[in-house]
Formats: sequence, structure tokens, C-alpha cells
Amino acid sequence: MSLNTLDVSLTPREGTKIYNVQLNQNALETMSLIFEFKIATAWQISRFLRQQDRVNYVYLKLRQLWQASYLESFKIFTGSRAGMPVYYMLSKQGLVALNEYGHYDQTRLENYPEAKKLLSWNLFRHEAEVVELASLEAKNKTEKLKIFFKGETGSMAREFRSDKNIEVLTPDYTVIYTAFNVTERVYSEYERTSKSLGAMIRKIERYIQFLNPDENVHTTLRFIFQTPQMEQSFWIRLLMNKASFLQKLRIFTTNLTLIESFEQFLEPIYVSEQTVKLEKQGRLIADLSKRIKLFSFL
Amino acid sequence: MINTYADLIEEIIIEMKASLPKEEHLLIGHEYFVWLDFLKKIKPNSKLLSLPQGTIKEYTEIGEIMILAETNKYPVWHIQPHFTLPEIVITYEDGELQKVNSKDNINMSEVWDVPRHIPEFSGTVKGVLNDKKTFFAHDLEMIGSFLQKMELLKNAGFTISEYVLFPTDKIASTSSNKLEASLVNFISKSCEAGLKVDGVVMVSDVSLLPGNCTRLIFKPKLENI
Repeated sequence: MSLNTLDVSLTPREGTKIYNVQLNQNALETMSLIFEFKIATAWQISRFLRQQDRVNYVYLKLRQLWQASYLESFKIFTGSRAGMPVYYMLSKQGLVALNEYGHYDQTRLENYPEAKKLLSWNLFRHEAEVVELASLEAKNKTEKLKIFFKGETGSMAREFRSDKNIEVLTPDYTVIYTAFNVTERVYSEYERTSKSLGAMIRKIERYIQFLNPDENVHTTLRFIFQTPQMEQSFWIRLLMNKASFLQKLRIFTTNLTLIESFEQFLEPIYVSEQTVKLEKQGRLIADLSKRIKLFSFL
Repeated sequence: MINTYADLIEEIIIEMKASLPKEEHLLIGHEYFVWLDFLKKIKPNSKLLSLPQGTIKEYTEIGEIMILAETNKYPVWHIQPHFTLPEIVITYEDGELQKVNSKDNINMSEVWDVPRHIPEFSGTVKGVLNDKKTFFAHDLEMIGSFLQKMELLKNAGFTISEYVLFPTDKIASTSSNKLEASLVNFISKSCEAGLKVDGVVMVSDVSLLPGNCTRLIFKPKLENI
């Protein structure tokens, strides 16, 4: 299989010891995380599971699950300091196991992409960055601040229309923040590439249509853009064309340059309709200099 | 049907409160507050949702106050020190000082630096005495805004406790740790002035909680002071 100019293939299991791993709660939780985020590395899993001090255990567990054919693995040079991390994805046997243990319904499991598709450069980069962002955010969990995650496959909402099962919401991941008896849901969309105005409007419109007004009170749609320019362009287009959306849904945005450490997820790195200002400086620009936190209690 | 359930929930909350030590009834964070929140949704006019007259709700988590500020659309709040000293209530009638009441039986002669006359004022002034027996006024019984009350106390010749504007407008961009640190700093300054202070009182001109509650107390945890 080719990933741009790199050849990437699933790590063969030949010659390795077949391992009969016991699918206990930890193993199923790990597999569920990989299923939800499609791919994940050991260090990302350990961030979600709060086992930073037991990374070696997670490495071992993942390897055992791979040896037992519940997972597939592949190595890839991502251009990062991490060098060539080992990514894991679910195998067919892993999907069957999740189904048997009743973790997901058949429709969701069928939606899990095939290895061939996951190893395409664009999808891989998107998914790799999504799981990295979510796992970083997960590190902010404390006793007071509970943070719960659902990956794309777990966040997806479907609706039956004309006997067809139609996907209506497909956030890259959903985060549930709970603190002081307040629960806030954040649908997170990572935007790696620029989208047309129409595509962006359709995406937001789906959230507005699908969520009922009661749900909107504690719901945020968060866009994480790859570059500040993409964020800038989003606000100009939204304010010029569909400012009314902002009355219907709490929309927050940020960009990757503002997320250098996990703590920054809790800091004032977000723009909302309360902070953005349209200004004319020769041409129309959106002033995004004022930034706020995702929630007041952080 | 919903009324029957609401009554049942009220009974449960009363039982839960009864099992708590008296001083912990108003401390948010107890399990029964979750039930109170639910009660708010199904029976907003429940008597359990109003605070008894004269009580001020205490918070130990700054995050809860930040949520309250957001819920109230970032109102203007002032903060004053919360004294551990016994409160002294001075009563004026027709502009003349009439009596001094305190749990510690402080008499009028000990409260020597307060004005004997406040033209046309009938009502009470509340405050505390510091180590040097200086009376610090912090509240006045009259209809008006917090700033008007402070102005009137000052003009009448009272020494007033320090007050500052609470940065409600910065809540969206300030972390809870930073905000708590600034409040702890405010408490420390009051302590340096010889006052025994264990928290801050947020004063609002509009009601913040059911029961026309315009004041609340924030007491940081001891390890943070």
C-alpha cells in the first residue's frame, strides 16, 4: 500500500508467538478507544486511560492484543520528533469481539474503515491528528474536572429517513466536561484542509437541525483549524453569510498554533461570537485577538 | 403526577439536610445540591430553593462562583473581606445613634470612632472592630446600590472596609487558579491591616440566588491561603 511516497503496510504476525489474551475490561476499553478514534498509539491510549505511569503496561497490552489478532499495527514516519510510532487499528477479529461483548451495534461496527482506506495519506493524517488532540485534551482530567471522550465512531448520530439510516452528525470527537454539577458537551471538528463555504454551512446546519433547542444550552460546536488563516477565513465567511447560526448554536474556534501543550485546552485560546470583531483595514478582516476559555469554570 | 414526585424529592432533600451538621447546610457541593438543582427544574417555586432570611451561601470552589457569574450574565459585583470577628450592629433613629448590638456584648463606649449623628438616617450600620478597636463599617440598611451605601458611610465619617470591583468581565478569559489567587491576595491584604478575615463577600445589586440573595461568601480552602 502506498502512502504518498512512503510504503506502509500492516506489520505481519508471522513468526510471532500467538498469544491468547483475555479480553477483560481493560482490554475492551482499549479496543473501544481504538475503534472510536480509528487508530491510536500506545502513548495516546495511556493518556486516555490515565495510566501515564504505566505506559509500559499499555505497550505490552497492545502488543498482546495484536499478537492475538484483535489489532493490526503499522509503523509510519510522521515527521515528528516521535520518529516512527507504532499505530494500532482494529482487525476484523477485534470488531467481532467488540460486537460479541455488546460494546457497539452492528451498524457502527460496519462503519469502521478498512485498513486500505485508513492507510491513505489524507485520512491517516486527519485521524492521527484527531487522536493526538483528543488524547492531549484528556490529560486535563482531574478529580474536580471530569472529561469523557467519544471518538468519531462513537459520536456519530444517525437518523432514519425514508427507511435509510442516514448519518446526521459526524464530529471528529465529542468531549463531555463535567464540573460542579454542570455538564457541557463539545462537538469537536478538526479542520485540516480548507472547505468551501457551502460545505461549512452544511456542516453547521446539520448540528443546528439535529440538536433540539434544549440540548443547545449545554452544547458547543468547536472547530480546531490547522492554521490561523483558516480560522480567520471561517469567521469572515460565517459572519458575512450566516451570522444567524451564532444565535442558534454556541460556536467556538481555535487553531493548532495555540495548542502547544495539553494545559492550553483550558486556557483562553478560543474565539466566539462574543469576542470576534469584523474590521475594515483596506480589506475586511476578522479581529481574533481577544480569546476566551471554553467554559467559565475552567 | 409531577407534583407528587416533586413533593417526594422535597422530602428526600429535607432528610438529606437533616443528616448534615448545621454549619454544612449551606455549603455547596454536598450531595443534596444535585437534588436541589433537579428540584429547580421541576418545582422552581419550592420553599427549599430560598435561603433562610439573613443567611449567605458559602462557596469553597471558585469554579462554582464563575458558573454563577456566567449564569447571571456577568453582573457587576464588588468584593469585601469576610470577617471572622463578631459583627456589630449600630442602630440610628432619626439621625441619632441609639444602640450598639453585638454577640460579644460590646457596649457603646467601646465603639468610640463612629459618628453620633447621620442626618435623616434611620436604620442599622453593620461592621467589625479590629485589634486597635477601630470600627470598620461594611453594610448599611438602606435601599440603594452597593456603591451608594459605601459613599454614604464614607461621607458620614465611618471607616469602611476595603472593597474592589470583582472582575466578572474577565471570568471568560481568566483561569480559575488565577482568579482564586487574586482573591487570596485580597484576603491577605485585609489580614495585614489587622482584620481577621477568612474569605471574601461578593456583593451584587441584583439577586443572584433564589430568596433575593445579593451576597455570597467565598472561602478558599486553607491550603490556598
